[in-house]
Amino acid sequence: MFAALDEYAERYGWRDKMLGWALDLGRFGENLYVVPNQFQTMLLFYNRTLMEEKGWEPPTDREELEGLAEEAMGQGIVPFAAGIGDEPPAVEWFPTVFWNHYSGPEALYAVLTGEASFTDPIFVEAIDLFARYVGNGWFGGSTERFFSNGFDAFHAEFGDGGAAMNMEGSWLMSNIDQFFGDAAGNGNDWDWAPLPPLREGVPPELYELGIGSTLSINSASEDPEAAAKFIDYLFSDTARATRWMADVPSAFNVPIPLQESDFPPSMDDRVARHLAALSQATEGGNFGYTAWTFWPAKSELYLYEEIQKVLTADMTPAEYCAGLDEVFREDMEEGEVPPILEPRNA
Amino acid sequence: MDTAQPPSLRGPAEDGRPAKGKLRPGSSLERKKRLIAWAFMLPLVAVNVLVILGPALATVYYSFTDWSGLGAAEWVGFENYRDILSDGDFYGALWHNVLWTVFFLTVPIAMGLLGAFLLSRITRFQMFFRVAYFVPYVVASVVNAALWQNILDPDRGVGSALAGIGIPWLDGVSFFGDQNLALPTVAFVDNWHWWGFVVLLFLTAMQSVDKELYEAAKMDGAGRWQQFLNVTLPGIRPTLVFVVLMTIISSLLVFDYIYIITQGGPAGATEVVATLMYKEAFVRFEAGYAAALGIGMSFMGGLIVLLFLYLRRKGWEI
Repeated sequence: MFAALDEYAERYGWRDKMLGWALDLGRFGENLYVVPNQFQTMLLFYNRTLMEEKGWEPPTDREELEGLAEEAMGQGIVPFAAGIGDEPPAVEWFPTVFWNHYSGPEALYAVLTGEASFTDPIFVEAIDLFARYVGNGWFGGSTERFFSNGFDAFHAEFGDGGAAMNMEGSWLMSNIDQFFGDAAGNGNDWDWAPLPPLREGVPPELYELGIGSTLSINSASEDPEAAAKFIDYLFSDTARATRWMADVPSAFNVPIPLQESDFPPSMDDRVARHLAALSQATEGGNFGYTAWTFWPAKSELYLYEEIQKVLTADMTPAEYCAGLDEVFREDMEEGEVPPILEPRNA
Repeated sequence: MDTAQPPSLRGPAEDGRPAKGKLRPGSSLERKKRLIAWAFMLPLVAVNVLVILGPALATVYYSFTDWSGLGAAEWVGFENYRDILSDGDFYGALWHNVLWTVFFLTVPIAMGLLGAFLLSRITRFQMFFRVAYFVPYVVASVVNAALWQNILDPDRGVGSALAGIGIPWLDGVSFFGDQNLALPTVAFVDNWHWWGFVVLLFLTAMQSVDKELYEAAKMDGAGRWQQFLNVTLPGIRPTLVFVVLMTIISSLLVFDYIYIITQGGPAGATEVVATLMYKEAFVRFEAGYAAALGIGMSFMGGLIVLLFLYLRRKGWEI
């Protein structure tokens, strides 16, 4: 069992030290049990060298994204490096992206709180759009390659310029340099941009929120006071925390208010820009919902197992969403849906 | 007449006295020997009870519960078994097991028979080929799988290399990502590691076939094919039956290569009952349902063994 952390949160002033949503996410019932230790989001990484050579800009809406994808395909360049060969559940990144950036965080909030249904057209259309993009070969080059590409293979293709962009989690920043520049022998460079809205009305800079790891205290701990003090130590000094973030990229992204100027000079400026943007956007309530943080377990499993059948046309997007809705209702009845945060405009 | 049989396996002497080398029933020496035998067997029996019988009985029990894999289990009777009968994923996976079984009852056995027959005809370099065929069998499945994933990679693999020398047919083919190719390709990889072992089994059996039978067949004008059909195959029948039986049972239980390479994908195209069972138990946390799947597969395996025993009793020479 986890120990309740409310007393420590009050004693150490964690609500002032952390981003507002961080403690809300760790509440189950009346008490705080969990503190996020590493938060993450989905981003649009791009091969900056290739894009500049081609005169391309990172897309800022659906029209630009589709235009760029068609142009890249026409030149024999895969628009989005992708593949689930090493880890099939990683397919859940994409419904996460399409539901957040097509359906929007408000629609997702409504469905995750039981106020809407996954059978609503806005969710079905998002899956249909994803399936069409995969069918076009925009992810990985073809549907078959999307299924079989492993992480190293598609990251290498991305770094070498065989693919222009990559929709992936911010965790990629921890090892992306292996695939670019001198380390990879290709002389290329990378950058990132927020994923563009795929429908009018969706915020242009939207970060779906994911939690990579959390901290709790065992209720049988011999010294819970020391454990709480250590948790506080991790959060209480911005300079120390940002130094750790620079030393161990992506492994330690504590949810504290951050500015780019908070980071040490040794920090890659792209990573610093990302962490500051994510901190500020989520503090302002501008966030969406990743499947691996906000979906109940059985619904998440359905999400990533059955979506493959949509991509192979063995199931329609409508059938997929109807099945998901059924599983989600069961999860909800069983009280399995995790705590959820209200988006900015909900 | 079998004159080579050891004395201890002979029947009693014709005058009713125990055969030479046998102990009188009930004698203290015999009891002592039995006790010693049990003393040697007991540790193994205990280990088997602990790691096989115990978990097997627990699996039977949990198959009648809604156990998640942790905590308490609630008795649900035959619900899991009823669910299996209406589970489309189960039938899809079972069909893949059937296809897998058909593949492994034909391809590796045919390759094994041919390889063993050819090896039995040569004396020079036989050991080299025996080792070469056997090496993949002793390489870890994850290593074999990684090797073939690289060889068959659509961009960096053999298809791309062949395209470079003007043979374009396999260029860009995604063997593990194509729904129609994934299952036969994984079976091909598994067969690559398996068939060398089958060769050695058959070769050992062929080497025990009486050479005089071949001489007699030759004198009767039999060619190599007729010798193979009428001397070799009948001569290795027990080994052949053993391989067939093991193939059927292992095909029902196949897991490792499929899970390592495709994890049952794409879109369930390589899902077999064992991978489905694994996902039910450790991903969906439906351990009770997974236990029922396991019992179902054990039941099928048991039926096949019983069928073999029945046919043998009926006089089939298997």
